[in-house]
Parts: sequence; structure tokens; C-alpha cells
Amino acid sequence: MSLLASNPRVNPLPLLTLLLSLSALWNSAQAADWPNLRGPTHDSMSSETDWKASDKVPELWKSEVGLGYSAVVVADGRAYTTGHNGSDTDTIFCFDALTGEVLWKHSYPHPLDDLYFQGGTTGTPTVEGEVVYSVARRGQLFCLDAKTGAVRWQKHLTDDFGCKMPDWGFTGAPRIHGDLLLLAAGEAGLALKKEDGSVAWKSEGKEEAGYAAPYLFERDGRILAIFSNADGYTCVDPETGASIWFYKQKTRYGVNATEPVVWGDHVFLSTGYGKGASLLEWKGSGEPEEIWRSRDMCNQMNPSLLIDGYLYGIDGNEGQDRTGLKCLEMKSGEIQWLDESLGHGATIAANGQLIALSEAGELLIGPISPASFEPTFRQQVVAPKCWTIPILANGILYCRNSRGDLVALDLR
Amino acid sequence: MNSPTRRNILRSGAGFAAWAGTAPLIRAQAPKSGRKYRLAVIGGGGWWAMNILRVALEDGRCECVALCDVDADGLEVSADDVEALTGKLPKQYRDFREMLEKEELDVAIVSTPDHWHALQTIGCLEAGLHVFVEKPTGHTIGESRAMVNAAKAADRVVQVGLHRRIGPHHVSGMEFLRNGGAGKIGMVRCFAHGGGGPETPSPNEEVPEELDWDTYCGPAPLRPYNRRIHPGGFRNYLDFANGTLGDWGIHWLDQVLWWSDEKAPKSVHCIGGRPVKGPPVLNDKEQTSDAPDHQIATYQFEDFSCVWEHRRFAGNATEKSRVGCYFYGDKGVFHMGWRDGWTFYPAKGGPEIHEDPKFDHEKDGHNVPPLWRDFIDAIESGNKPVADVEIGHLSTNLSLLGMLSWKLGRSIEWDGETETVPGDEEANALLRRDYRGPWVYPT
Repeated sequence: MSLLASNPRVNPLPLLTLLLSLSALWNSAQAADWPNLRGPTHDSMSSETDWKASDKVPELWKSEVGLGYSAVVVADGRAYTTGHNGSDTDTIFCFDALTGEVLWKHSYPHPLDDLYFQGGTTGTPTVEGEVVYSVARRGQLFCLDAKTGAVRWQKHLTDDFGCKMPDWGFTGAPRIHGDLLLLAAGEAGLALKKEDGSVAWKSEGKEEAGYAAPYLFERDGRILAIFSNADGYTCVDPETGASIWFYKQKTRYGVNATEPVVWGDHVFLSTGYGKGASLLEWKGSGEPEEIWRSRDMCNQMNPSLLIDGYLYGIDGNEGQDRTGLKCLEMKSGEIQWLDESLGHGATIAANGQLIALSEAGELLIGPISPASFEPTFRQQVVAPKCWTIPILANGILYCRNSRGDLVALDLR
Repeated sequence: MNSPTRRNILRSGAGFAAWAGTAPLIRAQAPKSGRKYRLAVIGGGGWWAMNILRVALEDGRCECVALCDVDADGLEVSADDVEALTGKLPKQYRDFREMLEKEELDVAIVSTPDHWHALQTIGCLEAGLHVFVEKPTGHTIGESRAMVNAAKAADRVVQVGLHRRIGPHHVSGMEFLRNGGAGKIGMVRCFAHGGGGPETPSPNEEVPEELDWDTYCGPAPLRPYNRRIHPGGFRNYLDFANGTLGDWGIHWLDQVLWWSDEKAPKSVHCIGGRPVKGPPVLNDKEQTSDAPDHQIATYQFEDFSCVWEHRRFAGNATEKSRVGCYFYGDKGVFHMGWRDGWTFYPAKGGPEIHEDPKFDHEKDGHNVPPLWRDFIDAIESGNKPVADVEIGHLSTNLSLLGMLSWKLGRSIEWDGETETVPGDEEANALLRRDYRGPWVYPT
């Protein structure tokens, strides 16, 4: 659009073709977008290098979205997140990613559900092309037009598919797999057809889902999925839902909330509530073997990042002593360092830097190193409390806190 | 690389030390008897029970041999936690009676919902155990008195989990008051306020496979299972507990008895209700909690008056603090708080006097470790512990008398000697409750 505006005399038709092809190029190189919870490569990392943080980072825009822990996702110039109004309504927001102008909103009735926390939304939307998918804690599932917010179809995970609602509600972000929409619902997942929300497959069993997003990985040329539930993690064939292996990981409240980290034959799983982590080895058949199990990395809400053989993650439960950003050697499980200044914050990585938002709302950026975390940049960017990952898209960092202050910071 | 089991032990050792990191370093003590006390936890599947147990293991004079819980999932998780801490998997029981029969035990932690405290504590005492029981002592006054009697009869130590009896700023604050720092005190106002709004009913559910719901309800009426109750929400259901007054109320009203050396008020009046949360719902399909969303109780003591207030809505932004007690003396106002320590505000103006709190566990903001040490010290010395069952009983009574007046909708007189409401049969009937099924109300 800005191209059109700055070149008023250009014949619009060829320009439109150019724009379309640019847009195709853009779509094929979406590394700079962050269209789903864990980013373009589903590992909380961005390949963006063209950004910087020095002196004071300017605020591009800010907004208020209401109570919750939903992360921001960005695709095709639009930013999405969700929040709760504190009494009876959830809202999905779509902003212009650059200006913060609200392009559309979609609201629906939803209780606060403040079960041992302040309440509000916990899930994060997923964008693919022209469509955005969003799941509410009570089970409302929306497929919305990304541009207009119009409802293409909607379903209900408990009413339509009989999936038992987890104690804190459906939370795992939807995951796209070809024509399928994979959902963190049921004992080992639910797959719907993207086009109309009809069932492709549904896992057996009564156990309620965990809170992690479905996770996909490739093994011997096959794509496999891992779903969490109250008792552990199940690896399934995402085409059929057939179970391949199960690893038991039981916590006091039936919470397995973080996605796995898969690297070669290794699967790293971690959970909070003092339970800790396991490194598994899976050779492609049979049950995975436990290489080590340790309580030194308890990822309650966000998974660790695996970078050059080291895991970087928030260890410990919110509201507990000794919570902070920790580095562990993956192979051995040995602790490298712990930085308690972050509390129960969250981190992503880009261009050799950890970009962390502390629980208190301070942005800390510093080189990724197993030796220590030495932030070279610090700025208070939002009020406490922040449990949600900041996300980087096209040089803009989006941070939110639990009461719903959302800020877009310009790192370009 | 070491074997996984060996690694677990090594790593958990490190984790344990880390967990204790903010506490002053304590050398694990040796028990006087030369062997460790054999400890069991009833309600061991809950997180708070696990917190107390960690403290007990850190003290070093007990070994955890058994856990009991009606929730098999919680039990399994806690047993795994204990194994990671000690290298030894405790035995697991669903029924405390079976555990008491089969295990050779010295000490028990009782950390179940309130309605179970009396039967389990008395069961342990009769089996010859010393007991650390979470506050409140009983769910009704008669149960609480029966616990005191049982402890006397068994000649065993019972420590009630009133860690605010031993927290450093509470101790120094009491010293300040008793030395006349606030002058002659005529009135105390205790309070605990928070935010909140209307409550929507949540659907009842099928009882989870891992939960023995019938035993959970135990002596209380059997009601449909609801996730809001278990795990973690029992305090807001009057069949199992006594709401905020029966929770926070005990901690703060206990400070009043501690300061005054009083045993009981002469009369009590309590009002309150659920104007914000809405009327309680309980049917086959759904339910809400039923504890009042606010209460105001007044207690007339011989020499002073005392008020309890709680609100679970609106917060308390007009005051500096959300919890604590104000002691009003002729020299000024003394606030005994929680995370804000204590502060004295002189009536004539001038500088405030303040002391910060010192917690053993910063984020949880508590002082359970010294309370546990005091408990084991009492077992070894034969002295009374700081939060002896009689102390816990008298403080619990204040909450329960408030609840009693609230239920009756009128004020009551109270005879602290006989623990009866003189000449008031309707009120006296509420000093106890009818038990369900095979359970027998203790005397």
C-alpha cells in the first residue's frame, strides 16, 4: 500500500501483479513473521538478524487486550493475541502490526476461570495464510478470516468432540499439519480437517489433555507428532492418531505444559511443579529410553531453547523461590548457570542473543553462552507480571503482561 | 556416566540444597534417641504437606517411611518427590487406619482438609505418635477439644501449624507490644482482604479414577465431586472447612490471644454473607462454593474488644496492607503484618517504628522450619511446643465461634471454662456435627 501511495502515477495493474508476486515471495520467506506460539521454526527462535537494541528502545505502539497469558503472533502485517475483560468475555484482537490500529476483534462469552491464578486467556492463536485459529479455555474453537475476523467455522472441543476440559482449560496452541488442524485436546490429540472443522481422527482414552501445543518432528522421512496429557507425553502418527510411544511424566496437578525439544534421536521433556526433566533417546522404534532424569530444569510454562547442545529455560514454578533462567548441558544435564533476576519470565533467541522478558516486565538482551548470561541491554518495558514469551517479527518485539498491557518495541 | 538412579540421588541432593538456599544453613541434627524418628504424612499427596515434609527432612531428625492420601495421583507424585530427596521410596497408603496398623511410626504430619483433622490426629495419638497438624485443629469446637484431650491422655506432643507463632517479626512485635510500646491497648482489628467477583457454578464431574471420593468426604456429607473442591479448593466449602475466617482468621486471631494471654472471649457476634459471590448452588449438575465472601465478627474480651473482617472482593487499596492486625493503644496504632513486617504509628505523630519480616522461604513467606525444629525439640525435651494443641485449639475456637454466630444469625455468650454457650441449646448443638457413615464423632 505504501508503495502505491508513494508512486501515484504508476499504472496500478502491473503494480498489482508485482505486489502479488512480492506477496508470494513474502509468503515463501516468512522467517520474519512469527505466525504461531513458538515461532516459524517452532523452537522459540527467530532467524532475524536485522535488529538491534541499544540505548532506549522506542515504543512503536501499545494497547490493552485484557487479562491473560496469550502470546502475540504476527503474519502478513497483522498481529493477533487474546485477552479477557475481567468479567465474562474473551476477545481475539487483530492489530495492524506496525501501527497498532485494531483491524478487527472477535468476542465471545467466557468466564474468568480464576482457578488459583488471576484468570484470563491462556491459549495463543495460530495463523496460516488467510486463516487464524484460536481455542478458548472452555473449548470454543474458532476458524476466522485473518483479514476480517469473519467466522469461517466454529466448533466446541467438549460439546462437539467430547474432549474433557483440562483443569485450567484448553491451552495448547493449534498446530497445522497439511490439511489437518492438530489440537491439544483429548488423551493424545485431536485432528480436524482445516476446511470445515470436521473430525479426521480423535484419540481414544479418558485422560485429559496437557497444556502444550502439538509438536511435530521428522523421523526417517516420516512426520510424527507429540501431544502432552495429564500423565505424560504421547508420540502419535499425525495422519491417523495411532499411538507410537508414551512416556509417563506425572505432576501434582496433571500439568504437562511445555512442548518437547527434539534433536536427532533425543527428546527432551520438562515440566514444572518440582518434577523436572527427562532426556530420552528414541531410535525410531519401540519405547524411548531414559538417558537421564533430573529436577534441575523444571519448565512450568515455556519450553527450553536448545542452542549448540545447551538448554536455556525458565526453571521453577511461578511464586516460588529460586526461579529463573537456567542453562543446562543437554548431553549430561549438568547445570551451567542460573540467573534469578528473570524470575518466572520467558525467553526467545535470535541472532546469537537471548531476548528475555523478566517476570517483572524488564527486557534483557544478551549473548547466548553456556558460561553465563550477561545482558548488554536492559529496559523496563511493561508492568509486572509477565509469564508470556516476547516475540520478534520483522524487527518488532511484542511484549505483554498478565493484565493485558501490550507493547510493540521497535528494534529496527 | 552414572546410572540413572545414582544420578537422580546426586542431582536431587543438589536440588534440595538449592531449595533450602534462602534459609539459614542448618546442620542436619541428630535425634537424641540415636535413630531417626519414623515419619508418616497423612494427606501426603498435597503440595503443602510436601512443603512441610521437605522442612522435616531438612531438619534431619526424621525419615519419611510412609505417605497416605485418598488421591493416588498426588500420592505417587509425592512419593517420587521423597525418593528424589532421600533416595528411598516411602510406602504408600490410601487409608490412614491401615497405615497406622501396619507401620512402626513415631511422628505424623496431618495435612488433610479440616474435617479430617480430629479423627486422624486422635488416631495417631492413640497409636502413640507425636503429631504436627495443620491449622485449624478441628472443624467444630467439640472435635478440637477432643484433640486436646487425646494429646493429654496419650502424653504426646501436638504442634499446630501456626508458624506465625515463631516468625521473627511476630516474636519481636509481641515483645514491643508487651513492653508497652503501643501503650494500653483497647481494641484489635484483624483482617484479610482480597479481590474477587461473582462465582459461576462449575459442572460436577465423574469422580477421577485415582480419587477415593467417599473417603475424602469421610465424616462430612457426601456431595458430587467437583474439580473446584479437590485438589486445593476445600477451604471454600463449609462441609470441609470454614472459609477465610477458618483459614486466615486463625493465624491473626491467634496473634490476639498470644499478645493478651486471654483464653476466650465473653461474647461473639458475626455477620456476613455472599452478596458478591452469589447464593450457593449445589445440585446434581453443578455447584459453587458456599463460604461467605465477607464476614465481620466482633469478640468482647474482658479488657478489650476485637474485630475480625475479611472480604474476597474489592481488594484493600485504601489501606497499606491486605492482611494482619491493628492493635490500637493509647500510644498509637501497631500493625502486625505479613510480608510488610510490623509497623508502629505513634498517635502523636513522629517517626514510625518498623521491622521487616524474616522468612525462611521468601516467596511462600513462611517460617515453618523453626516451627518444625521446635516440634522435634519438644518431643526430645518434654517441654510444650510453641503452638501446642491447646494454643491451636483456643485460636481455632475464635474462628469457629464466629462461624457459629454467623450460622445462627445472632450473638452468643461464651463460657471459656466449660466451653459452652450458657443456657442456649440451639447454639450448643452447633458445637458438634453429625458424622456420616461409620465415622464416630470424637469426645
